[in-house]
Amino acid sequence: MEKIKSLEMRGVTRRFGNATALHSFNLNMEGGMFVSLLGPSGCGKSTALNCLAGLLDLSEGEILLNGKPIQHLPAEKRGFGMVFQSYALFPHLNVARNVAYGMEIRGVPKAERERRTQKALELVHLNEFGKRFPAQLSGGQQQRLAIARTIVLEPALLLLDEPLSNLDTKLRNEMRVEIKRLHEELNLTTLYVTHDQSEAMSMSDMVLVMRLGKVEQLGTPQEIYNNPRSLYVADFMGYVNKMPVEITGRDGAEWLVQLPGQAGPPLRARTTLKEANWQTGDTVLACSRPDETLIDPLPPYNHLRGKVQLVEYMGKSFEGLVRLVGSSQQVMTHSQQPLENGQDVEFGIRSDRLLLFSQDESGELPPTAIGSLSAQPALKGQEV
Amino acid sequence: MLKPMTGDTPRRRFDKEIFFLSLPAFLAVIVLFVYPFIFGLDLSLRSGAKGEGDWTLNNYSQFFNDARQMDTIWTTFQVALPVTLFSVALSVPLAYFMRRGIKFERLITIILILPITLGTVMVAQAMISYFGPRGWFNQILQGIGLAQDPIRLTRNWIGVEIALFINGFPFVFLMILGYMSGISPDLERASRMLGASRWQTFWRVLFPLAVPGIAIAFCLNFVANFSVFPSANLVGEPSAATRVISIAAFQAAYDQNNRPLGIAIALVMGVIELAIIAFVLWLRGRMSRGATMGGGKGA
Repeated sequence: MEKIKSLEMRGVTRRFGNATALHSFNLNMEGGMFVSLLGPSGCGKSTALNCLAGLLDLSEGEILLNGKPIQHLPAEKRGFGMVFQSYALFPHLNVARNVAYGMEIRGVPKAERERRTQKALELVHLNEFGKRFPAQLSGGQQQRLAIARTIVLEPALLLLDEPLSNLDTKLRNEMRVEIKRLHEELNLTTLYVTHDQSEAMSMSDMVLVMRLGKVEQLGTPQEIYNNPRSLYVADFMGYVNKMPVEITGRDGAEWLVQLPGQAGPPLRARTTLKEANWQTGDTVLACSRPDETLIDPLPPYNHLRGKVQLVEYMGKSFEGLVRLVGSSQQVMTHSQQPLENGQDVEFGIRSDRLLLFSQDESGELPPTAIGSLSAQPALKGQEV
Repeated sequence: MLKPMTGDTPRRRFDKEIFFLSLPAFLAVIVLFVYPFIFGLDLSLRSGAKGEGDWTLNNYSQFFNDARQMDTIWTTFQVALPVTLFSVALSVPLAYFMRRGIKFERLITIILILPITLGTVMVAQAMISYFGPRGWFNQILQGIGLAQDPIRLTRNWIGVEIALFINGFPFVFLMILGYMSGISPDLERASRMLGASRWQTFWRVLFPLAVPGIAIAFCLNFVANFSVFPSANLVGEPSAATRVISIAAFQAAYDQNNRPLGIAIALVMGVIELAIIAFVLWLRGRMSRGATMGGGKGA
């Protein structure tokens, strides 16, 4: 198959009846890259993948492989490989025949077919299982078989559609490492669709966060993690604490904000928004991650006080739901030291980890988000 | 085909609840099937025409030594096999195209089911009016000049085939459609992503996975067609071309008043049907061992 130097999706739109599942989608990939499409269900990420694979026709736009349009080619002519969430193994063929399927279609001679099948099965540690049928394999083994069946054809592009979401946590972490290893070993250009931000973070060179059929943010995992450009992305990246605050001033790049009902010096925060022309007295949302909202070790500034409402033991650290003094606002915090219910604590957030967003966006939070904790104090507790 | 699903595998202990729950079904099967079957078997082995006398194989040898009676087996095959094969062969591609649902699916399903609800006799009567020498069908053919003389479509082999098709095809089609639409569409997508065309995907994935369903549909339809009686009488030629085995059994039992012989012929018919079913299921087992292991619907 033709090696990928560049792959471009330009203005790709897909409509289902009146609904637009994918809206002017653009993607630029170089050969060898690992790119993730990240978003909640219904955001259009699988639609984008299926359009690229050729399993869905485009309503508009084009797909360029090394500069040549390929959107008119049927799926079987594109030379891409795909791993499905359901694995889609052929139940009537044994493991070896599943792997050999694509080579049988291509008329690869039997001897070579067997050699390559064996090699692919070794690559995913299934060489002992050639004679078994898919139903006789465990979930992780089925997943590895689905990958072997695809990569044995050395596809120009590997498409993975939520491949790990049917596995338990332990297997998921193992397979994550496995997929990354295969990507490096075979130098496969890979597009990975997931709703799990930790998967996208740990494997990708580039992440596209999607929302309502559009690209919300594009960047390296670090950029997405540290500088979410919208409340939506922040939410998706685990910014759980959302505190309404009042703008009191500016100090260079930093904004000075005050929590209602809180005495003491103003908090220092920053924003990743390109256009933030807030005025003194405006109310905005200050967001922080629980593991950067610290009781111990206590950051040197941006301190707040409160009472511990609920404690969760996290293994190496403790997570505590803290209600701020003199308000109903609740905040998730982390501590290296044990916490107790009812304990009075002081915690802090580094100014570069406290992000400000306009409030008006909060109405369209993704359904997966926990939402404002102050509104649902019991929710987190029920999840324990 | 009337065998009950009795209990579970031996690895289970005796379960009182299951025993009492299945008791009514057991009793029904014994009263309605097992007892009449044994009664009939006994009757067919008696020498006297009223079921008296000693046990003997006379009735069976009488059937197998009479060329006119033996011919009914071949005649029945000639009636039952073509229409069964045709129904299955037509259903498979149709089911393939309708497997993801199509427009007016509900309407088409209703039209298909209608003949089943009418029953064979009504369909036969309608056919005589419609396909008969002076029926609409022939009038239209003659009217547009496609035929000079009326084409004989009733009171012969063709008539029986048409009647059996009208009554049997909906069953076959709906069964195979149910099976095909149960195969995960991801399997087709996976096959295409591995480079297979639609045609290759059909023959390598969909068809092998549908084989168990196709085999069952074939068996049920074949058994129904092999035991055809009303259609063969009403729209066929019951004295010659469509003198099927059930007509031979009926004549022996009620025209000649020899019920033991009639039952013997009916049992011969049953044995042939069972043999065909066994053969088809054996073939199915050979063709799709893995499919049955995986539940047949895609892992």
